[in-house]
Amino acid sequence: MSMALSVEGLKVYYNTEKGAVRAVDDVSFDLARGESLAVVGESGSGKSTLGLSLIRALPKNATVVSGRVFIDGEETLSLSLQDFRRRYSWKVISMVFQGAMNSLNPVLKVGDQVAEPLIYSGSADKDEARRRAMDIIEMVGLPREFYHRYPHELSGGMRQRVAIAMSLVMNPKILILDEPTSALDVTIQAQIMNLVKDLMERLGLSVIFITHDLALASDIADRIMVMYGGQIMELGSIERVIGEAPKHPYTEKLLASIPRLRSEGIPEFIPGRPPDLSSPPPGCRFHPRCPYAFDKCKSEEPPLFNVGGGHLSKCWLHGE
Amino acid sequence: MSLRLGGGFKIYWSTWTGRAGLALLIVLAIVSIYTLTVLPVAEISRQWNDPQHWADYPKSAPPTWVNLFSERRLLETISLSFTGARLSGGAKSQDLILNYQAETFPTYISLSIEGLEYTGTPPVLVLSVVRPDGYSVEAARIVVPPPRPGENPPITRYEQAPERVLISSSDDLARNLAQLYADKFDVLVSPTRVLQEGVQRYLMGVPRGGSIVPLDGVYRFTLTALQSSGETSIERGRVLIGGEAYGLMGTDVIGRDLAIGLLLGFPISLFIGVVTSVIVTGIGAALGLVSGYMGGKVDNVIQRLADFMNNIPLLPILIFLVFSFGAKLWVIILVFVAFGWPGLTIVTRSIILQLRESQFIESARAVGASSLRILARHIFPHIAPFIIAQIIFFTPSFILLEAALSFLGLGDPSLPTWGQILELGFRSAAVYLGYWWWILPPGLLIIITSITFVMISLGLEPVINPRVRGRFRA
Amino acid sequence: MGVYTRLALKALSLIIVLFGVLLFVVIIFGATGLSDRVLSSIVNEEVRLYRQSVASQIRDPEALEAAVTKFRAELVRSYGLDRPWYERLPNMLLRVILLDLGRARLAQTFTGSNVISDIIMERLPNTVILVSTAIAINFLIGIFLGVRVATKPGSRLDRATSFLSAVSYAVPTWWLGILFILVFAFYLRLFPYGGLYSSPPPSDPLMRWLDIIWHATLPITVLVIVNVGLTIYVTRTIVLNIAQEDFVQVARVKGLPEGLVNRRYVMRVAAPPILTNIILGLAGSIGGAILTETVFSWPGMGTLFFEAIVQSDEALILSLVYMFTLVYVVARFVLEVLYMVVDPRVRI
Repeated sequence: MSMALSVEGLKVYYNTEKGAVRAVDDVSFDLARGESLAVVGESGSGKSTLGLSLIRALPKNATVVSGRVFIDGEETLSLSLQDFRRRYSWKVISMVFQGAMNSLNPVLKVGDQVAEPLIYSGSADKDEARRRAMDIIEMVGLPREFYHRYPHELSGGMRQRVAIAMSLVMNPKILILDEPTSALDVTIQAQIMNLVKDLMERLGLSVIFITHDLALASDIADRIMVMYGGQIMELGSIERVIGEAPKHPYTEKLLASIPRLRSEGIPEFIPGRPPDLSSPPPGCRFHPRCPYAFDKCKSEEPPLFNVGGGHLSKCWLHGE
Repeated sequence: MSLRLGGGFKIYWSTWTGRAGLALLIVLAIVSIYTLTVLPVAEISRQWNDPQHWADYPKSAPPTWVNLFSERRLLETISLSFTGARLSGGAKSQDLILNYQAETFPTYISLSIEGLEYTGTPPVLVLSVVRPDGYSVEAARIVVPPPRPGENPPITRYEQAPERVLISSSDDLARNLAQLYADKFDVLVSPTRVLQEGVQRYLMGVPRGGSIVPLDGVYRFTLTALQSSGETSIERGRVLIGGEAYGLMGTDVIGRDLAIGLLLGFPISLFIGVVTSVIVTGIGAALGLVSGYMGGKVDNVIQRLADFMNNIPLLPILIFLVFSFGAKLWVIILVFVAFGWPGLTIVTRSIILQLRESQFIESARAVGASSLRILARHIFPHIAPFIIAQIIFFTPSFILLEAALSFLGLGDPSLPTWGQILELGFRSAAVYLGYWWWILPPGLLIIITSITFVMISLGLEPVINPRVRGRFRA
Repeated sequence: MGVYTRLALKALSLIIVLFGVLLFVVIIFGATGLSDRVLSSIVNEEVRLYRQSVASQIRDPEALEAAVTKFRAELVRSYGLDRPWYERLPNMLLRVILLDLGRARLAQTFTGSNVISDIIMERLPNTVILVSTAIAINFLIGIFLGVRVATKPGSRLDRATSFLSAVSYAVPTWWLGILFILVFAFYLRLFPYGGLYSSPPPSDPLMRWLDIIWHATLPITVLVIVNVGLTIYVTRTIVLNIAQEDFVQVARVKGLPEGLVNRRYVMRVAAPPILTNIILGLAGSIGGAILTETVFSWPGMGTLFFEAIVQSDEALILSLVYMFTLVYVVARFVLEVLYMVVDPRVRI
């Protein structure tokens, strides 16, 4: 059985005045059917760009330099944008964008925004589309009559539910969620997380969950992919990476920086700043901030070492 | 700070609008300074509205340089003048020679005499004309008034204002010419017709094929004083052959030299624009500062008022106020100030509100700096560049607004402004008669002056943040 | 807050604006002694009419004089001329509101009435037609071109538009009008010098309308040219900002056709801010209309304003200030209602 999604050697660069910014630099991974993968990293790690490039919604100044993306076994980056939008976008692969308020049109009823793709793809007439949109609105835990509300009439959590409903209306197989809870307070966050988990189960979705929050990632995902400076640092199952011990110094530091209730230690901070991706440091991208860095790290880029059981880590500590 | 200013100027200078604006401003300033220092401004302002002063100038005449472009040459105004003439009893006379070479007739001919002095019997001044064809005709006759009781010789006359005779509409000359044409050319024409068609046509023309054509050649104007006894002297005299073109910019319907009026418009326009803008910006920014910084009731009152005034159609009310209080320069400026501040107050306030929350103000407050000190040392330097930009940005608004009021007949009549020149042009139907030289230059000058400031604003835009666009137009 | 409450509040605030302007104007009017002059001339006019009407009944000149004097004294009292201006302020206010300010000095209606309210009511529609047409055309062209320019930000066309919109700010509407008359009426003879129709106006209704359109072409063109630069620029900026919003990209990703995205996700969202811009420009348009009407002798309230100034007709000027403010307030209210229709965010 083929993978729901597989990415090979993806490179996405932004064209800026300072030159090319390597936001996603040689990223490869697979997503199995029904699996959920958390993509974790600081802001600027390239995780959002990765998400946008999968659904081909990159901003104008970004270009896919190389790489292939297979959805259901078919390469989709070589399709024309029109073709991709007609056949895949929203129908097979869908996305909940960062910042729910901004992804909703302020002057349209939210229900219409949910129902629109049904009508314009020709899969339903107006009444049918409205009925199905209401079903989905109900499914994400809102009353059916919320169809007629405008975005400004909803709270942040409700808007996020609408955004999720919107993404599910065409029954996609793959769902990308980009920081779905970042602007919400903690109780609402938990509700949304429960909704997402519930939907994953009920609809059998394959999910890519983009977040900067390791705790959330470990709560929802089967596997975790840690990104830094546009590259994968560590990729493995939640059990191995979080449950046992992270293999990569960056993941380790990331874990240590999470404040915990009832723990003796104070949260650590990772010193330094994320790299400037228009001129990334030579060797390992993390070496300027890495406490274990040695000479080799400064000159040679480490490969992704397989540290057992499909667990990958991009660090010279694992090899010679 | 000085470093920043230098850097700012570099950015400003890198925009072509900035360079062009500054160049134009320098030109405007030079012309204004020239006008104020070289021309007798006070005297000209007085003369400007005195039709007497302009009586001898051709009316509604285009500038002389149109001859460079047109096939039909327009006659330029010719002035034949003399000074210090002594005339006595017909024995001595004053001759003025005119070599007339033109395809058209003069528009008028006038004689003026200034500062006459006589002894003996009151003289009668006679101006006679000898035409190139040798025929001669009496053109004008001035009977000098006799001495008043108690007046002793020498008697002076026409000292205050010159005595002026419009030869080209003289009944007597018309009659004389009708006589001449009947006698010499066998052309019968009534004096009334001569008057209607223009006496000067008959004086300086010959009949040919049923119409009168110009007679080129040397004309001799001779002024004699008929006097049975005594002597007459004339300080200044002049025969004016009125042309169809005049000076660099032409004239208006009263005969005013538009070049002078336009020149005077420069300093006035700049003065109104800059002074009003400085005051408006000062008041607007100060109120915004107070409103934003003090908050509370004061803020509320100021903002309500500003909001109210921002929400009314301005021009009708400005018209009403200037009309009610009289069209004087200071009234106009005062009214502009009274209604100009709200926009800036609202914007300044919002900037102050942002600044107030900023960290350096917080920290200044934390170390116990007084409100006044914070305003002066921390807030003011931040908004100063913005305020300067606003002064420049608002300047054209007031130039345009004043011009609009002037055009509606509410300009200060004691000062010639471009708007007023246009107003008279419009009211005396210059547009419908195609007097472009009267209509185009003042309008273009208003536009150029306004654009100067618009361009400087555009040049300043990249230098000064936050940029704000006002909305003030007429 | 319901829609109606909101509308009522809006209406109330506009009425306060109107009333505030009125009060201000009437106070100035009283304090400068102009109201005395206006009321005296009303009284004189009425006394003259009274004298005419009673002259036939009262033969005795002394009795006539006495009756007239008595009548005048009554009038003076009823108009409050025997009291200082601030005491008759409410009365004066009411007079202005009802446009009951007597007769104009020289201005007349088409049929020859010189009652101020008649004159203004005759001129009002002409002004409304001119201004509203100009505003409508300005925004049709401005929005169309603004959207076009917004598709190519930073292009030569875009920069030229920004520059021209800044420059058009420096061009006085009225002077442009004069220039147009000179060029299109005097030299090219394509359009009339001014006025509302030819004299005599064509009798055929269709021809009559065409005649009006022919006469309105130059003034409307001038009003549009002077304002359209700013409209294009502002529309461009609004559209450009909205086109960069996330929801537009989301709509594309949703697979919606590009035309629909532009209509529903860009233009539909741009409508409220563009309308706000119309509202902000309204006061300026009314000012511009006064000058443009004057230049083109368009028989509206603007030209009447000019006539009133030239004739020093205080009462007429006062009435016109009130009427212009009233027109503004009404137009503003209509636009506010429209705003509530296009922007769901204000109709909670």
